[in-house]
Amino acid sequence: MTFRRRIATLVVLLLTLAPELAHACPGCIDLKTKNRVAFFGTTIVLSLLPLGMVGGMAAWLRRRAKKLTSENGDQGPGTPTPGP
Amino acid sequence: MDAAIATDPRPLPAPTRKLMPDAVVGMVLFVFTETMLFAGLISAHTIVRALASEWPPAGQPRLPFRATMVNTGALLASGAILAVAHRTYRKRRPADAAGPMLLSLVLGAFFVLFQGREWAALLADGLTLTSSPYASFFYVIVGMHALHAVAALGALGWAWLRLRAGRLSPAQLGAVALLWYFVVLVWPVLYARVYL
Repeated sequence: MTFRRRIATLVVLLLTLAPELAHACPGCIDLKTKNRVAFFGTTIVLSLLPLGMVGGMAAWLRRRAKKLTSENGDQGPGTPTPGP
Repeated sequence: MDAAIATDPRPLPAPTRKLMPDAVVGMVLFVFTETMLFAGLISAHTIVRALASEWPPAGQPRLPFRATMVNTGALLASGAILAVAHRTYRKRRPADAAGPMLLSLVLGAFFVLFQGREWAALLADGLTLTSSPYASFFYVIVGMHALHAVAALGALGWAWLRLRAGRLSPAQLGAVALLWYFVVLVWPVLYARVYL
């Protein structure tokens, strides 16, 4: 490692010590338990809700596919329906 | 070109059994996005409410939660009756589904009109969109729901007319019913968060 690279690495390491804590929103820095619980709770809900909806949809489709497969014998969904 | 189509010897593809009709898939995706919209609004409301020193703020009219509870009952009944109509239709008795469907429509319209009357009373009492965050959240969240309710009522009315004419397909009813179930089921959550 060259001298310039060593200096650059040292500067980068020192810079990581420089910043104070950064807070994104008033909800994050408020020390009241009620606010922290509200912030944490909404974060959890907004994170898990879309995953739950997509997961629930996938599970429903899987169950439906199994049901259609059992109704059609070996033929799965997407197979032509019998003619009139 | 028409002649070419008319003489094309290839047979048309046979209809396939889908996991879910296209109309219902589209409505499911729409309902997913709208669920996230309401989740975002409720989350913002929850944070602002937790940050406030007093909720509801002093000097602001209180929301009529008892009267709205009765209205909530009307909306839930509307959803349950539509489920009955849906089930009747699926049992291949579409003519018998028209009555419950109309009743569901009437109860839904009652809900929207009642909410409108409530808004008029609150505005007269001085609760406006800009009077406080409490009022702003109330009008935005409840207004957004009312917008969805009016659109879903329009769709329900359209489906009822098609049912009467014998032209309503199961996929169309499924999509419209899904939208109405969403409007019905999201309301108790909004009511619990905003009114109570």
